[in-house]
Amino acid sequence: MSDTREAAGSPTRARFGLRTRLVLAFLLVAAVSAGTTATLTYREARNAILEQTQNTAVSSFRDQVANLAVGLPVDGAHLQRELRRIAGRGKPRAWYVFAEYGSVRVSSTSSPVSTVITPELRRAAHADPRGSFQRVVKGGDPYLTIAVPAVFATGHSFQSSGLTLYAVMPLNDEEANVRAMVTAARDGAVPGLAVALVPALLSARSVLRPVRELRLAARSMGRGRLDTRIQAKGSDELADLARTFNESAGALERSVDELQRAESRARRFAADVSHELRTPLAGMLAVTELLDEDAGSLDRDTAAAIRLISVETGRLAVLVEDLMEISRFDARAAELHLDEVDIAETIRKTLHSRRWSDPADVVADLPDAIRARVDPRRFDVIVANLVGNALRHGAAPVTVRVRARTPGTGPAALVMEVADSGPGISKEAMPHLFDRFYKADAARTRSEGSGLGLAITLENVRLHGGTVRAANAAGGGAVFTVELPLTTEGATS
Amino acid sequence: MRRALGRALAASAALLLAGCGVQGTGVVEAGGPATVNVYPDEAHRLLLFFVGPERQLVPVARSADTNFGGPEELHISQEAIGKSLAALAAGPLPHEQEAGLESALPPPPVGALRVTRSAEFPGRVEIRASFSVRRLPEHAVLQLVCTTAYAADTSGAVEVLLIGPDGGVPASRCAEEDGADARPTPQVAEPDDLRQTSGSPAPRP
Repeated sequence: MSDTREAAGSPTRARFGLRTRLVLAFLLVAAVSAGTTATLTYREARNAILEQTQNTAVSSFRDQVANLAVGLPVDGAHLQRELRRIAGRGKPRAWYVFAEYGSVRVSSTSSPVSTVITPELRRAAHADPRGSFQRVVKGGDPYLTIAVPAVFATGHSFQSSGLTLYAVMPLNDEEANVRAMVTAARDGAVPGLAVALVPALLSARSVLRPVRELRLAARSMGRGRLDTRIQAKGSDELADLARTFNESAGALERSVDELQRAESRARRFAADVSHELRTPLAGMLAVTELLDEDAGSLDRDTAAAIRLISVETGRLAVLVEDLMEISRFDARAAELHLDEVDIAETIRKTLHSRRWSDPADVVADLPDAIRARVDPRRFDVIVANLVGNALRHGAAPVTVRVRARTPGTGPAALVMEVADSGPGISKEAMPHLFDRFYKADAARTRSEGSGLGLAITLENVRLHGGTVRAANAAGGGAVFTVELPLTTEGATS
Repeated sequence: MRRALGRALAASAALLLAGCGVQGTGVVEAGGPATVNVYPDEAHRLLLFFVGPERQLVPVARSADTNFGGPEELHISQEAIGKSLAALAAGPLPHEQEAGLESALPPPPVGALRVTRSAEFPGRVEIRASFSVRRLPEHAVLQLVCTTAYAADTSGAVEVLLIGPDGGVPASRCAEEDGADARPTPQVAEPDDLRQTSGSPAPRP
């Protein structure tokens, strides 16, 4: 049974269980660190590649331009020849060269104007006689564009010549290198994540095993096996928890033992007391019966006193019998002697033996042909206690009704209702009706009963595996309903 | 929880991939200009300044008929200045016009331009024009100043004062001697520059 419950409970627990969370946390940490490292490395490497290309290109372009000899205004055809010469000497890679002077536009290509060079770069070259470059991505292809204004020496100083030279260098090779780095980073990260899975699973296992042991131990203790202990290994927090669990379990076991011993002592004492009272009471009863018979011949006061002693002794005997019965229940010594009987017949016998045959007192609604397996003696006690209780605390007439419930609306059961015509049960009394020595009417401290009748009834019904409950009927009056399982013949041995 | 985690991972991966490849940049400054050779050489050219199609001052090197001396020899030759200014006033030649150059000066005839050396400030050249100079466009003033400066001194390190019948424009320079900032913008001479230039353009006897 424990296995099936565990199997049913585990899928909901496993969905976001400790294992999943630990593995996810490990993977996340691994992914973040791998991603961060890869990103930073990639950035640095990419920048280094590009910076080297840019620096080489800018300085070599400036060197190439410095070899030019031009007239002002420039001679287009001559300049174009020069540009073609420079275009062939691109470093680190071939480049396209463009030149501007006034409205003159010359290039080493067939088109005199570049579509890649941005207006910002031109503005920067015109505003300042300084070299500058810009990386441009055009149509998905990256380019390095360089602008170098040309100056010429005038005595000790330099004068801007109005001529600006541009170089456009495709960066496709650099792009390919950079992409290769991304691929390498990705190919390195995925196996890294797979490797991270191993310590994740191992650590999850090391945490989950003690947790599972704890869970099983706690469940075992819940079922009453207080001697359950866990093997506490190691010195981590989980081992501490296991040790604490063991200590708590030991303390609990000791105190429960103590309680059980005290309770059994108390029960044994009550049983011993009632047993010891029984023998002298038997003698007293015999004597009081004798005295009762002779009471008529005594003077009035003495006769009244003797009758009182006789009645109280009889009550004491009943009380002692009830106490012994309760003690037997407490000691789990009560035995059930089942016998198949006719219920109507049994109830009628009970009523007759208690002399409750007057219809003004008790009305019996007993259909024939209901047979059930009950303990006849205990069933007699149940009926007698309920009817007696109804007559004492309720009012006549008391109705006893019996019916068999068919299996359709629940398990097959024998249902007996004992209803009185009294004022019903107060709300305060309702929860305590079946308590021992409970007195519904506090003023009537000396009840005719022992105060144990309903408690004994409850124990007897439970012994049969049934239930008893009290309620107030719609028209007033208390209704006690007993349900006993109606076992078919031969089902119970 | 897992869905949110997946979303975060996907977002970071997208971010990572977006940063991949070669990105465009802004304009980055990288080193100085390139120095080219301009022919004819210093000793055999007149350096005139015209205005380009983008309103920038563009130099033009014309061959000078006369040899004014060796490149190392510094002088102020009123004849050279006069020649340069006359050429400037005449406007760009046809092949210069083809290159998109024009002059911001009034169309020829401009009128007389008298060039004198300043008596108070050595290294300053004064140009007296017969036309109004205060209403000249900025580029016209720059043309006059730079052309005069380079005619007077190979380094162009001369202060030029432009005076017309309506008064003068503040004395300005075309270029600085060290060439750190060769922008031909008008500026008031600083004492430091005056001291440096005062010695070199010594009057010839």
